[in-house]
Amino acid sequence: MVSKILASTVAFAALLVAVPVSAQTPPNASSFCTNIDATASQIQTRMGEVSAKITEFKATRNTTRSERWSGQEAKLSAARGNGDTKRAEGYVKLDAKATTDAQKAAVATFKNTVEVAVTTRKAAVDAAIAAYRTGVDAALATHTAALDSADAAFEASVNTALEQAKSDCAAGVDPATVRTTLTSSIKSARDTFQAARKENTLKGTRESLAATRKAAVDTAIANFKASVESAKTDLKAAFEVE
Amino acid sequence: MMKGFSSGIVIIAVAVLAAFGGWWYWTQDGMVLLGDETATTGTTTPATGESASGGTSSPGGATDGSQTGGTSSGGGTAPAGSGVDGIVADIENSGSAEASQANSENGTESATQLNSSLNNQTIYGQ
Repeated sequence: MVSKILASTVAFAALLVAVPVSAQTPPNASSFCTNIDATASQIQTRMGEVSAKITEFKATRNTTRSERWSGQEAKLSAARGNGDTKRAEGYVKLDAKATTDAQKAAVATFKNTVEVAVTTRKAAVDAAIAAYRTGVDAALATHTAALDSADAAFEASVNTALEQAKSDCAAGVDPATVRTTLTSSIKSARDTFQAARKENTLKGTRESLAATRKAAVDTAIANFKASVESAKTDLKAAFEVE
Repeated sequence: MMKGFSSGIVIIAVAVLAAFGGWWYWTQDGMVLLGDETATTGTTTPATGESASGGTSSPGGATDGSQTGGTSSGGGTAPAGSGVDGIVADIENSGSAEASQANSENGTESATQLNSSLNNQTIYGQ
């Protein structure tokens, strides 16, 4: 009697262990072909999630870029406003110092020269920024196209692997072999997708564009300073002659 | 006997060293440390406002038109920008903020986060 109770207890305990373990075990190879449609559906859903992430990324990126550029324009406008104010203050000081007609004429000429130089500088800076942004947009378009292409290739490869798996199951190929082949094919597609995304980078392009922009802006500033220095020579000459 | 003799030598040696140290201390900067301030005040740098080169300061406001720009020295100089050179320099530099702002625009549209997310996306069998 005791042995029966003991045996029943052991069997029950074994059942308690076996049920959860079997629930966690992935579908075994023999049932793979039976569940191939459900598996395919699950894979399609997950690929849809990949595409959704990419779509969201593209939308967010465009929004972020637009917002940043708008913010930059506001800051640039403010910086220019400050510069204009400082320049105007300088003109007032020069006007106050000009006591003779010659000095007043020299100040007027100086102001005109500087204002032309400022206009030229602003135009050059704007052009440098515009070139940078055009380049960034082109790089983003290229990056996006490559991303979409890699995603499409990934999906195509996975779909092909799924169709092959279904076909193999229908043809009576060993389910374990079908499952192994599908797993391997999807891993290969995934690796290819990953490598394509890794190569598809904006970093170098953006740095190159920024360097070009900096060179153009630096040149614009240098040209502006040279113009002001040149104008200063005539201005000082007028003040030195009393 | 010998022990007492050695102790005496040591005491004498210490006394000689102490005497020598005191003499050295006194003849070097000991005088200064003990309060003879004339030893330092005679070598201090000129007070504020004095020109290191002998008083060639040229206040900007008084030399309009002839100021050589940035050569004024010492106290009493006019604020920067009050002379023609200073004013023109301010105007010349009025575009520096614009340049800095123009060059500060850098994108952060990298796909690093996306790639990380996609790398962690399970498809099948991972």
